Amino acid sequence: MTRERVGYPRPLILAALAVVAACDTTSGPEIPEMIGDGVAYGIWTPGPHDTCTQAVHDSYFAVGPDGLRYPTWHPPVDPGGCASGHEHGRDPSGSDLFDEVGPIPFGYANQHLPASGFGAVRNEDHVGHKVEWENDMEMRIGDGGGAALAVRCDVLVKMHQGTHSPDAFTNNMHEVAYHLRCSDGTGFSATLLTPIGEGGELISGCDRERHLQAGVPTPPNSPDGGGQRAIPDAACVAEHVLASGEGTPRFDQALRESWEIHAELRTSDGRRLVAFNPYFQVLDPSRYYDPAAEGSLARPIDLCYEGVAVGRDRCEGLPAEPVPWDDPRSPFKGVRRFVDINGNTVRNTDGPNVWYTDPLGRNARTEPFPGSVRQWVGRRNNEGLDLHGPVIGRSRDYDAPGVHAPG
Amino acid sequence: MNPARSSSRRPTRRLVWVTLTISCLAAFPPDGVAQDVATSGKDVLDGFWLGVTAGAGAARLTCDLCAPRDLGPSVDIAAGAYASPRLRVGVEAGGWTHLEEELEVRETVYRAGVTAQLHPRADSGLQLIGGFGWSGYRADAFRYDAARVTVGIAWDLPLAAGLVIGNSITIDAASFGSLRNQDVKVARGVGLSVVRLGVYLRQG
Repeated sequence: MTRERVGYPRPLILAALAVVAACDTTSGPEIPEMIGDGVAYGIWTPGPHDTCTQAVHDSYFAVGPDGLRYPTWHPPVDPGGCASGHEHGRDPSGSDLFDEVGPIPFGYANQHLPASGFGAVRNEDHVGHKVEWENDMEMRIGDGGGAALAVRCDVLVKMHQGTHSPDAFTNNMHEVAYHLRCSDGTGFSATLLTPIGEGGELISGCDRERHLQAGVPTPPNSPDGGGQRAIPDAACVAEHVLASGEGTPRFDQALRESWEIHAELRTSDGRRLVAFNPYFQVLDPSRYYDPAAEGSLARPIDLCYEGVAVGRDRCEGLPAEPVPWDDPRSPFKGVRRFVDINGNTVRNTDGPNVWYTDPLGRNARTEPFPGSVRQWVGRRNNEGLDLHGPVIGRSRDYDAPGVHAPG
Repeated sequence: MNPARSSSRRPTRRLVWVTLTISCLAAFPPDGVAQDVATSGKDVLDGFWLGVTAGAGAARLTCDLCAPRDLGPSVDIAAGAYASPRLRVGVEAGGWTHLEEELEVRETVYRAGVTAQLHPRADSGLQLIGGFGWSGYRADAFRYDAARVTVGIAWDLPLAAGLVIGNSITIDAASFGSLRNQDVKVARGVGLSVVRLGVYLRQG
């Protein structure tokens, strides 16, 4: 018997969502008829450690607002028992926003970059898409407002944050899908390619004053953005692991990535509709920047087999025979992550709710145009609140049987 | 409830209990005290009066997003003249405050206005309180200002010639204001209520 799995959620729920979407006047795209496959769909293939077939893996999909099929969240171990070898973070079906926004289409913004006139493509791998969410977050209100007001929010976010390759050493454009709904009426759903810091440059993960020129970004015309990509480099490893001497190697201090984004949706006349600036943090990535290494790419697992780190801290319990970087036994696979939600600003008092922007979140208009990406913004101006969210996911670890780098 | 809010209320809850205790003592004067409390031991009441009230209050902004009621100390001063032997009128001003420890934000409610205090019966310590004026809420850059009305009751206990102690409970209610962060309106249709329990000392 062939199992047919129509995306995530199930067909009946999909139909119900379509009915709800037709009646819902608050948010959430209508679910269009599927007309084809996005570039991001079907690009994953199983490796030597993976027991799921491509067909099982690809049975999890989402139809985007453009009618194209995209990959979406799936469990690292399929209910049938096979392992795909990678994880996409927290199961979004537990989010209070899931019924409203539906499964997140991975690569929706990337898909439309060429048609938008950007002049280049920016396609990201499959395994780097990571989901995180939290319900009923107590928000901080600036300027003393927290004493007078109480605001709670639900957030559901997906960030492409691959931590296994040299991609992010130079490439600063990464897809983010960010959904927020708050008790004060603040709300938006934004999907865009957000430039994080300067293209071609990374910031040392352990010393924010150290700026490292890593090469030419892809695409070469990647714009600079707010925020920064703080990625561990060889100096971090030398200071916190290799120089520890009789002390304990401090891998958590050495190997911590922080992608600090500043994302906006702006109208064609430059008016800012939405701004948000979460920081996406990863511990135990499977790479660090070392210009002395081939391709400037070094693997933390190699530290476990030489010098002071042998058998200590994160290297404890490893077999004597070196474990490859992409082996499930390696502790360095970027499965420990958390997000600083930070600020969320909406300026859309007069509406409408639905906007279309280019894939970088610019040129927002009320009608779709070639290469546009659908956005949703609540009718609200919350600038007086200085609304900031907490850190979410600190206690979560997304490791599972069979999970390994790349991820 | 925010645990920080809970812990910051403990000293204020003690203040409320102390105020209640003193109020109960003042409500039950010892035997032998003259019942003509409205005259406070004076044959003819005229001239001016001055009073100060201290106690505890519970304040809350009312709106969809507004935080729960907070407890804090409250103090008022009032002065005026006798319109009749049983009616005092005057002006009053005072304030209430509460420290939100986790946020390191101090909330304050200021009030000013006119007051009238009526003894329905000359031989009773009971008095009815009414008034109107302005209430202003402040929490760092957040502010709220609105007109308010005050109603309450009190009970006098003469101490000596021209000196009265008593307890009071009053409610201040303001409505139709906006909560602002500097020049930006963050909430409309906001109300402010303060329930005050106090012990007063009045001369005159």
